[in-house]
Amino acid sequence: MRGAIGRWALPLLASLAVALTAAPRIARAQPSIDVAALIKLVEEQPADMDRATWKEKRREAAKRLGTIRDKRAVVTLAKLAENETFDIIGEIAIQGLGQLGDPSAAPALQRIAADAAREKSQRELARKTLAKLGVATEPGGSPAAPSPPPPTTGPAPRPSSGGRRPPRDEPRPSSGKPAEVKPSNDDPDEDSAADDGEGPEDGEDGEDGVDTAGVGAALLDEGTGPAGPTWQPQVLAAAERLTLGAGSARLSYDTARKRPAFEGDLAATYEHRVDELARMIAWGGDARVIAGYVNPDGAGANRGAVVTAAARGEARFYSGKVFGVGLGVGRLGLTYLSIDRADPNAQDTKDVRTSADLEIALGAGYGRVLDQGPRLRVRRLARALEAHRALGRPIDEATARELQSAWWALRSARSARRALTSTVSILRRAGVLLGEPDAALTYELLGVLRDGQLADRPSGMEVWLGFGEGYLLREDEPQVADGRVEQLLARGRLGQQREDGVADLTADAFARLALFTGDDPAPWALGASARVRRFTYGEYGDPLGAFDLRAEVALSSDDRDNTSVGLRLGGELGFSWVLDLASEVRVSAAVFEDAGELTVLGGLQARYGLLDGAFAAP
Amino acid sequence: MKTRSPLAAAWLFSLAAPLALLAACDTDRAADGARGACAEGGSLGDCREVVETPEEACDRLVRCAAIPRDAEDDNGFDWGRCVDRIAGLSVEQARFVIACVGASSCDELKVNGSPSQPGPRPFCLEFGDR
Repeated sequence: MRGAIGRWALPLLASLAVALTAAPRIARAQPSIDVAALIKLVEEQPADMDRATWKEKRREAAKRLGTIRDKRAVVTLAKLAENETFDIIGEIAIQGLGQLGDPSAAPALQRIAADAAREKSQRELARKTLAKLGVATEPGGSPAAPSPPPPTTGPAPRPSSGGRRPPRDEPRPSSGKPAEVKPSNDDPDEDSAADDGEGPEDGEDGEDGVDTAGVGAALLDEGTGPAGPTWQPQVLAAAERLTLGAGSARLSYDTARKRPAFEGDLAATYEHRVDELARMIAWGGDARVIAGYVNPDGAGANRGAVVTAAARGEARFYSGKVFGVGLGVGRLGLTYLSIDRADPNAQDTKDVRTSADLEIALGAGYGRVLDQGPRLRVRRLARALEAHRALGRPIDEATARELQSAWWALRSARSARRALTSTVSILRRAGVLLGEPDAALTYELLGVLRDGQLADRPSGMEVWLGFGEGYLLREDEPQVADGRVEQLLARGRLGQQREDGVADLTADAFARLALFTGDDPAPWALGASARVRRFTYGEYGDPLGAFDLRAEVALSSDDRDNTSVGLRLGGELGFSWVLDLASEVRVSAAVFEDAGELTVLGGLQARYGLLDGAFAAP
Repeated sequence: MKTRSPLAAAWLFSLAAPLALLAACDTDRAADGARGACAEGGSLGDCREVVETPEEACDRLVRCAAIPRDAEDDNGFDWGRCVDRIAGLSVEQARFVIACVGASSCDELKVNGSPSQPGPRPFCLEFGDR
């Protein structure tokens, strides 16, 4: 019996040992990865698959080929790397060749590295891959050293969808070694910072954790702006605006009448607003200085100045759609006027008037209006990509937030270049943008980023009712309400945006009633206005202008002079036509009826740049 | 366009509110002009307005209850005379006056007698006198 067991046991144990030893290898070598099928998927679009899906699957297949130690994968990836110059799959293939580590891919990579017609990012990636393989950038040359990317700052991107971090155990050339990559003289855009040897090594994170290796590295070099905020999920909207306006400034001297004159108007406005799920905080202020001076020969000089400064803040606390609101306003005003009259019998005027307001209001309301402009900009980006067949997949929430974070960080930038390169970089990393954008798509993307028609696009509905208490300081003349004033206030706002952003509707309503006026008049007023706009765009996404239709109604009673209610009805129809950067035409017609008087106003404002061209010799 | 129902609501609100009020009010004699949100009571309303033309400047004076839309007295200073006054000024003077009206609060634009029979012209409009 024992002998029988021994006879069976030995081969069984031996088989088990062999099986256990071989199992991992078998598992690794499982034909779960069908190389032939992957290659076929890369090379041919299946009949039952739409093009967009195929492009996505094809990129995944190329990535997987880069992980398989199979000679056939090298051939296929080399072919992809050389031929796919517009799709991101070309860069995936270059990376894959680096991962496979097969020197037979070197000639293809050398051709890519030397091809001046290709994207800088692709050439740089090919050089890095050659360095990884230990092969010279050019045939017959010495092994190339990769030029480290410069440190990047900017909104932390999500992991690259197309790239892969090189494993830490892969051999990497020393960054301290002098770069042996032959400078590309044909590339005037070569970023010198890329070769300064101070950046993180290939594949390492930049200072802020941005993986600078991989797909779109060159775009990252150019594209990342300063770090923007990471919007928390509870943040619904935010805005910050600082506007400086030199309304006008005019200095003249009339030699015939010996009459110097000056007029200037300078204004600044600041707004900061953050809407969160449970609260809203807004604050800001404005200041304005106006000066005028006219001094004709002889008497009759006029000097005037107006200085105003105001600050306001508002806080809301939400419970669902119901909110409590508190707002405060402070304002200072100073007006100076000096008139030396030519008529010696007329009295000169020299007067300074000041005023000050300090007011608060508390109330409750319902609803919320948010600015949807940035969202509409994201949607228009997606539409532009779709129109150019460059939309790999829809822009998801995370990518939309990342885009807006980058735009926020660049909100003070004078040029749109960094916004453009950041946007392209983010879209490529997210797999939304397929390949480098061509000139036509770049033009449209830039147009979307600079589109002023997407600013201030309120959406939602809100109403609130509040009690206002204030203290007003006024001059003795004229007799106006001053000291303590109380009033009942109501406000309403409505905004509706069409999904594609080409039309909107906004409406505002107000009501006020003076309280505790005793024997003095207790004026009240209420009014509403609504405006519909239809924005127009050209064939290439250029903002062409907007139709706007506005209607208003207001009622009031000042409770003076035994008069009844004053009524005002009005409407305006206009079209602003933006012909080009130098030309704009505004045509409008307005009609309003007030106190029984009908007024019709027509307007035509035109600014037309007939020619706009320039040349400069070298 | 998915804005039909809010659009309809806005128009209904805009039209129904004044009509209802009109029906309830005695309309023997219209007031000198309907007043805006900031005509009284300080700056709690959002009082910033775009004022760039003589018509807009004079319209603001009416909304602020500084001058009447149409004076009963033929020589009274009203919207029409205000537009004429600014149009008759030099470029620099007109621009200063328009900017001054746009920047001032409603109370600063009022004068004795406002709005029905403003005695002197509003302060900003004195600029340009000789």
